[in-house]
Amino acid sequence: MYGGKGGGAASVATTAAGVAVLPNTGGNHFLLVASIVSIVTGGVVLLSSVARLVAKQAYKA
Amino acid sequence: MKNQKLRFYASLGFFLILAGLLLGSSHFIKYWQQKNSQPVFAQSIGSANAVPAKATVSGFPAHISIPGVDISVDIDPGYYNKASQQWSLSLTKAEYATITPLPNDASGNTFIYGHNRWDVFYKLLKVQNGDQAIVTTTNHHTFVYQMTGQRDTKPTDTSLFTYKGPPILTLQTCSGFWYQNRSLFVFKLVKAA
Repeated sequence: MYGGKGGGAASVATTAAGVAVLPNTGGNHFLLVASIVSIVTGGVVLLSSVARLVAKQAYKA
Repeated sequence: MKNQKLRFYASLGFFLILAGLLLGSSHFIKYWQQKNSQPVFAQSIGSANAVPAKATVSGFPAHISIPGVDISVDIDPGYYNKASQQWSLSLTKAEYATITPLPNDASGNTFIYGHNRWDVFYKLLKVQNGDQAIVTTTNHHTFVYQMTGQRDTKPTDTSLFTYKGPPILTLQTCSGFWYQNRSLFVFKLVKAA
């Protein structure tokens, strides 16, 4: 991708030796984590109550 | 009575799922769109033109606009801390990596990065080959670049810093479900004034 020809560097060019990583430019993690926690909690609550309801019906029958 | 309690919990669970989906909707939709879009890989850059020995036009970048995707954002200097391996970042501005060449008409890879947030580079992921990026500098020069390629890479891929060749601009924001990818957009210089 960066396979350009070398040589003839301008006076404004600098080298960037020693850079280990690219910047972490991620978005809003808080919203994402909150939404996933909400979905997982909701799923567990919903499934457990449905399971209990079904078990109760089966026990009655 | 017990049935009512169970119904209440079932409703609560349903509500929580719905709330979670609403909270994360923009992220989920963006992730789905990203996953289903065709990746465009960079063309080889810098094989045609000779590199001039000296820059005749250069300046510190102050503003970047990409009309094709409605991006218009100011630029701050961005610094890399070798000890902590962290870059300075702004929530409202893009950052020019001061360890890379200034925008110029001679050579080198000018690197500008910004958060994947609405105010900064959220819409960068929609930019297409051929779209123009206009960088204005503090000394009132204008650099017009044209996009030639895009790729997603790992955070540890620092090859862009070793680029030598005709002047290009690389823009970066993060992508992926957990923002684990670094999306790099490469532009060639078409006009400097």
